[in-house]
Amino acid sequence: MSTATLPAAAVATPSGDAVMRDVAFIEQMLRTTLGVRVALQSIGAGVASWILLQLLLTAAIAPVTQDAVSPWMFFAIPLIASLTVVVLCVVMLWQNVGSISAVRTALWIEEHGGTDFALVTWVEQHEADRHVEPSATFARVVASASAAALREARAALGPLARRALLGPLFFVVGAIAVLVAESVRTTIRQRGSLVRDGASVPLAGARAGVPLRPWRVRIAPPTYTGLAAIELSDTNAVRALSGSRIEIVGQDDRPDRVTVRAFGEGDSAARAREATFTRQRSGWSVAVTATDGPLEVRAVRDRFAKLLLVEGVADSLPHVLLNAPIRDSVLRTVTAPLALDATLHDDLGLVSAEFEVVVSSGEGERYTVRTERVGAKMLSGAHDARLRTVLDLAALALGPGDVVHVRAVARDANPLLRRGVGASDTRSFRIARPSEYDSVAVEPAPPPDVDKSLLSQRMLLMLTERLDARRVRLEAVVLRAESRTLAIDQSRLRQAVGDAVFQRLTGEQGGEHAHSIGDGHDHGVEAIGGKLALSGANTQGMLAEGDDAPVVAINTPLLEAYNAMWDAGRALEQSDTRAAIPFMRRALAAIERARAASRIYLRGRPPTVIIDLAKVRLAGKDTSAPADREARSALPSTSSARERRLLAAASLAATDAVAARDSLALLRVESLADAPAFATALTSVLESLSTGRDSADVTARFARARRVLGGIQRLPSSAWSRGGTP
Amino acid sequence: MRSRVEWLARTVGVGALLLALISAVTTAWRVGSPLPRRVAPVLRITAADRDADSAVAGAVRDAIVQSVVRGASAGPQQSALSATPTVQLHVSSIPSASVRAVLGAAARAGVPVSWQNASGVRALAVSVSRVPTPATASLLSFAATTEGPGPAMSVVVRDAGGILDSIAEVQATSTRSMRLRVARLQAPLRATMMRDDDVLAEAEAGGPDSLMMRRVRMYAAPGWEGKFVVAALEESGWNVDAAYQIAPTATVRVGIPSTLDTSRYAAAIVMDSGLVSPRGLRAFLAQGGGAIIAGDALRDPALLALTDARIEDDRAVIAGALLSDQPRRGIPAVHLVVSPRAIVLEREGQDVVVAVTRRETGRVLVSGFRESWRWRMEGNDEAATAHRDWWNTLVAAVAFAPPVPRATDAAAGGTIDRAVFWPGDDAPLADLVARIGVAESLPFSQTTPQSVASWSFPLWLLFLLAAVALLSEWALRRLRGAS
Amino acid sequence: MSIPRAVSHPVVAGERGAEAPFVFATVQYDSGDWDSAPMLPANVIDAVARYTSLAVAPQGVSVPLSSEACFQYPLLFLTGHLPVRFTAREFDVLRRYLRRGGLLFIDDHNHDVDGAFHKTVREEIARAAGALVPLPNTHPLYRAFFVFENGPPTTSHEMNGWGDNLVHEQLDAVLFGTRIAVLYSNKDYSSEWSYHPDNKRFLSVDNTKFAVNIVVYALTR
Repeated sequence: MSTATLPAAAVATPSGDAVMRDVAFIEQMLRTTLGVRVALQSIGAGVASWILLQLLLTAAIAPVTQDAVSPWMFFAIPLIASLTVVVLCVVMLWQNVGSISAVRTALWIEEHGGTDFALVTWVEQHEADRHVEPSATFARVVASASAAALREARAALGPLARRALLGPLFFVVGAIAVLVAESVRTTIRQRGSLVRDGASVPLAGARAGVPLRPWRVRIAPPTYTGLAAIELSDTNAVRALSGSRIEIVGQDDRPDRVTVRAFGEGDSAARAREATFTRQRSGWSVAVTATDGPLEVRAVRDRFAKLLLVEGVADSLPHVLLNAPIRDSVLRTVTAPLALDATLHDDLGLVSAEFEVVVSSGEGERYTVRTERVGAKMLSGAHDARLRTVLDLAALALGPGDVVHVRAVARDANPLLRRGVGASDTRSFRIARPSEYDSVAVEPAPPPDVDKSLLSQRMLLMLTERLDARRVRLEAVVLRAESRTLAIDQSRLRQAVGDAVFQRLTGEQGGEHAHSIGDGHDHGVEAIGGKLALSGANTQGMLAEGDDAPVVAINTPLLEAYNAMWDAGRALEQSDTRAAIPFMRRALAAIERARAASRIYLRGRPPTVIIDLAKVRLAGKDTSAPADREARSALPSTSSARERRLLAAASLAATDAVAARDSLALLRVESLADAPAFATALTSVLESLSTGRDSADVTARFARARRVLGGIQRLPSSAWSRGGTP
Repeated sequence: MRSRVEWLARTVGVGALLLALISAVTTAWRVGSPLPRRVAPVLRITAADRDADSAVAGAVRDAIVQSVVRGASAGPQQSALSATPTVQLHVSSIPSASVRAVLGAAARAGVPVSWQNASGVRALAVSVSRVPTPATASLLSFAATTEGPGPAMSVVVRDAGGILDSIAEVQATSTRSMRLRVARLQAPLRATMMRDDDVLAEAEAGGPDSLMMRRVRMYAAPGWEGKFVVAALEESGWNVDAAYQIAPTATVRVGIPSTLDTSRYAAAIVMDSGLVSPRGLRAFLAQGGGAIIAGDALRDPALLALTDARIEDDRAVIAGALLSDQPRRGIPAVHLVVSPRAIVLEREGQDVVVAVTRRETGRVLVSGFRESWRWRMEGNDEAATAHRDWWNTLVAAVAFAPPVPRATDAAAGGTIDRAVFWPGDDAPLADLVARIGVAESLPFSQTTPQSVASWSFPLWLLFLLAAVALLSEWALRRLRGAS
Repeated sequence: MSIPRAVSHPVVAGERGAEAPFVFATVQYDSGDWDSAPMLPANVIDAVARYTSLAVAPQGVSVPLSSEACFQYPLLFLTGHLPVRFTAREFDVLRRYLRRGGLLFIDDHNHDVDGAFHKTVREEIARAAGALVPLPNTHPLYRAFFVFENGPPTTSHEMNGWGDNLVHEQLDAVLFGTRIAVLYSNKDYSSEWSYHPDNKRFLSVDNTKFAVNIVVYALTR
C-alpha cells in the first residue's frame, strides 16, 4: 500500500488535538480560578484597609483635629487608600495568573494520574514548535495514557475552585458586612433616635462618631437698643447685652441635643434645660436669650460636645451727675431762681431726663410732701446729654421751715419698669425761719414732751365720745363707773401736762420733784379754783425759785389745756360726758397749738444729756431671760471645688487640650462674679493653651492660678512647728 | 542588580540580628562576671539611673547574687574577701527609693558598697503635716543644703496637682528652706532638686494624717471683740462655746460652754480677766490643750504668768495702717517681753507682739493685739478674710488635735513601718546614708570609671534594622516573582 | 444745710476691762432731718445701763454716713421724717459697712407707710443692701435679752391716729444669711423713746426694753 505524504496537520491524530484541547480547557479554568481569587483577595484587602483607615481617623486623629477634619475626608481618604490597595494587590498578584502555562497545566494534570510525563512531553513539544508533526504512535500513547488523568483533572477543577475561592469570598463578604453595619449604625445615631441618659457628657471623647463642625453665632441685641445684629464665625465665647437673641447656626448634621444652663452667683448646680431646634433648609440652629449673668450652651453629638459661653452684660442705669447746685444750703429768701445743671450719660442711649423737686413742709410729727418735675427733656437715644433749667422757687410757694430736695433723674430705653431710674445726688435747701436770725441767744432746748399728752388726750376724747353715744343704753351705775374711770385718766393727764407747763433753764421739765400748786414756790402762776392763771407780775422773764433752776418760759397753750382738762375732769366725775366733750376738745386744740408753736432748736447740737451710769446701773427691775445664741454657719468654700476643677483641667490639658480649654472657660465664667482675680488668672491660662505655648509656661500659669485662688501661701520661717502668722 | 540588592539586604538583616545576639550575650556576661576587687568598675549613678530597672540596679542585684553563690560554695580556707564582689558608686544623682533599697540590700548581704557623693546635694528633706483647723489645710516644710562649687541648683516643690512653689537658685554651699500652707494638698508631695534639667535628688512625702478636731472655748466679756472673733472662727468652720454675761443674772450662751477639757476643746481663748480660773487653764494645758491669752486678760498676773511674757509698753495706733499692707499696726496693741524659750511669731520691728511657748504638754500663745475687730470693720475690703485667716492661724498654732488613729494589721503582726528603720523618701540622702553608710570623701582608686549602661548598644535599633532589611529582601523577591 | 462735724466718742474707761465701751451712734445723712430724735440715744444708753452690766459710753455720738468713721461703730441708728437720698459716697460706705458685719437700725419717725421717709429709705436700702423682708416675730432678736412673745412691742405713737394709723405687727430686715444687717421699724420708736430718761420713773412699764434687745443682739450675734 502506497501512502502519500500528507501535511503535518492532516496527519495529526484526532486524539492528539483532543488532548491539547482538554489541556487548554483545564489551563483556562485554572487561570480563571486564580484570577477570581486574586480579584477577591484584592477586594478584601481594599475593604479591610478602608475599615482600618476609618477607625484610625476617628479614633486617633479626629479628637485632636476635629475642627479641621470635615466629614467628606472621612470618606475620601479611606476610599482612595482602599482603591490604591486594590490596584497594588492586583498588580502584585496577577503575575501569578500569568505564570499558569500549558506545561504547568500538564504538570498539574500529571498529579491526578500518572502518565509518566508523557503528557508533559507532548505539551512541551507542542508548545515548542507547533508545526512539527508528532509521531502518530506517540500521540496514541499520550492520548491513551492521559485520558484518565484528564478525566480526574477535570473532576478536580470544581473542588479546587471551591477551596481557592471560598476563603477570600467569605473574607470579602465579612468585610463588606462590617463596613455596611458601621455605616448603618452611624446613620441611626445621627438621626438621634437613640435615647441617652441625662448625665453630663464628657467633652471630646475618643470614640467613634463625627465631631461637630464649626458653627456661626448671630447676636441680635434687644430692639430697644437700636443696635445692629452681628455675626461671628466659629467661637466659644461671646459677650452680649442682657435680652439679646443669640442664634447658633450649624451647617452639619444636627447635634443630639443642645442644653442651656445659667449661672447665678456661686450657683453652679443650676439645672440645664434643652433648647429647641429651629427648622433650617440645611443644617440646624438654636436660639437662646442672654440674661444678666453667664450662660453655658452645650451642643452634644455622640461623644463630642461643643461649648458656647455667653457672658451676659446687664444694661446699666444712666449715670447722672448734678453739676449745680453744688451744695446744700439754707435760704433766707425764696425770690432768687435756682439754676439746675446736670450731665447725663448712658451706654446705650438716653430717652428722657428731668429734675425731680420734692418739697417737704411741716415740722415735728406732721409733714406734707409734694413732688414736682421741672426741666423735662426727651433725648431720643443720645449717649451723652446736658440738662439745664432754672427752678423758680417762688412758684413753689415755700414757707419757713420747708425743705426742698432736688435731684436729676434720667431714663434709658430699657422697657423694664422695675429697673428704676438713673439718679444723681440730692441737694437739699431749707427755708430759714425768721426767728433763726434773731440776735437773742437762746439755749438749745429739746422739744417739750407734749406728744404723750396729745396722744392721750385724743384717746380720752375718743373714749368719751363713744361713751356719750352709748349713754342712752347704759345703766346709770355702769355709766358712772366708766365715766369715773375716764375722769381719773383725765386727772393723771392733767398732772402730766402740769409738769410740762414749766420749762427750766437746764432743759428739765419735771425736775427733781414735781411742782404742784401750793408747794410754796412761786411758779408765776397761781391756782384759782383748781385752775392755773398767770400771775400778773410774772408773765415774762425768769422766775427765780430758790434752789430749783429758774423757769425760763411758761407754756401758755399748755396752761390753757391744763385748765380745760380740769373742767373736763369735773364733768366726767359727774358722769356728764356731754359737757366734758367740749372741754376735752379745747384741751386737745390747745395741746396741738403747743406742739405747733415754734420753738428755737438748733439742729446738729443735740441736748447734752449725759447718763449718770453709776446711778442707774442695774436699777431696772424687770427680769430678763436671754436666749442662747445660735452658732453661725461656716462660710461656704467655693474655692475648694474650683481648685479641684482647676487641677482636673490641668491633668486633662496634657491629653486633650480642647476639653481642658472648655473646662477652664466654664470655670472662668463662673468665677467672674466673686473671684475676679482668679478669673483673670484663668484667662492667662486659656491664652497659653490657645496659642500653644511650651508646657513649662502653661504649667507656670496653672500654678499661678492655683496660687491666686488662695490655695498656696508661703509662710515666714519660724521655729514653731505649726508655722507663723501670714 | 536586583539579586545583589537582595543579598545585601539579607546580609544586613542577618548581621544585625547576630550583632544584637552578641550584644545581649556579652552584656550579660560582662555584668555577670565577678569583678576583681582591685579593678572593680565604678558604677556611675546619673539622673537616668534613678529607676529600679536601670542597669545600676541590675548590676547591684547581680553582685548580691554572686555574693550569695560564692558564699555558699566557698570553702573555709578560701578567702571570701578576695572573691567577694564589691560595688563602688559614683553618685551624681541621689537614686530613687527602689534603687536605694537594692543598695541597702547589697550592703546587708555582705557586699561592700562604697560611694562617692558627686551630686552637690548635702541634704534634702520634706515634711507634711495637717494644720489643725477645720479646713483640711496642710503645712509643708522643706529644706535643701548644697555643697561644693558648681552652678546654682533649683528646688521645685510640687504635688499631684502641679507645682506649688520653687526656689530658683540655691547657691552652692548654702541651705534654703521654705514653709508653705496648702489649702488642698494632692498627695504625694515631691521636692526635686535640679541643676539645669538633671534631677539631683528627689524627696517625696505622702499625704498628712487626718486630725480629730475639737471645739474652741471663748472667754470674753460681751463686746465687739468677742463678737467678731467668735464670728471669724465660726465662719472658718470652728465650733465655739462661749458665755457672755450680760447682767449678773443673765448670760447669753454660745454652744454648750463646759469645763475645759481636751476631750471637748482644742483651745481656749481668754480675752478678759476674771472669766476663767488660772488653775483650770493650767490643768487644760497639762492635758495638751492650747490657750490664747489676749486683750484684757493680759492684765491678770496669774494668766500672764502662764505665757512666760510680760507687758513692756503700749503701742500707739498708726493712723491709716488698717488700709495698708501691715493692717495690724492700725489696731491697739501692747509690746511684750518674752522669755528666751518662747518663740516669737510676730514682731513689729524689734518689738514682740505675738509669741508662743510650750507649757507642760500644751501650748500657750500670747497676743498683744486688742480690738482686732477694728481690722475687720475699718480695714480694706479683704480685711474680713484676712482677719479670719489670722485668727485661724493663731488658734492653729496652739490647738490640741490628735491624729485619727489608724487601724493596724494586728493579724499579720503589724506592718513594719519603714520610717522606723529608714528615713525614707522624706529625706532621700539621709536614707541612702542610713542604708549604705557615709560617702567616701576621697576618689576611688579606679582610674577608668566605667558605666555599665554606657556601652550597651541599643538593641531595639538593631532589631529594627534587621526587620527592615529582611522585609525589604522579601519584598524585592516577591516583586521579582520568586517564591 | 451744713453737716456738723462728728463728735469723736468720749474715751471713757469702761467699768470692766479696758476694752472700749459700747457707744451708741446716730447716723448723719445729707438729705433729711437725721437728728429728729435727739433724746433717743440717752434713753437707750440709760436702758442698757439699767438692765445690763455692759460697758457703755454715757453719751451718744453722731457720725456722718459719708465718713469712714462709721466703721468704728458696728451698730448705727438712723431716723427721720423727710425723704432719704443717699449720696454715692454714703452708698459706698453703707454697702461696705453692712458687708463687714455692721448693723443699721432704721426707724421711721413718721410711722407712715405712705410717707416720704418710708418710701425713699426702703428704696435706698434695697439699692445698697437688698430688699427688706418681714422679720418673723419668733426671731432670736425678740429673745436676745428680754422676751417679747408677740414680736416688736407696740408704741403708743402707733395708736395716736397720726401717720398711717396702723399698728405694725412686724419689723423688716435685710438678712445676710441669718444675721440681721438692716433692721427697719415703722413703729416710731424714735418718738416712743424721745423723752428724758429721768421721766422713766413716771412710766408704769419701761418702754425702752426693746432697745436693750437690739443692743445685746448687736453685741453677741
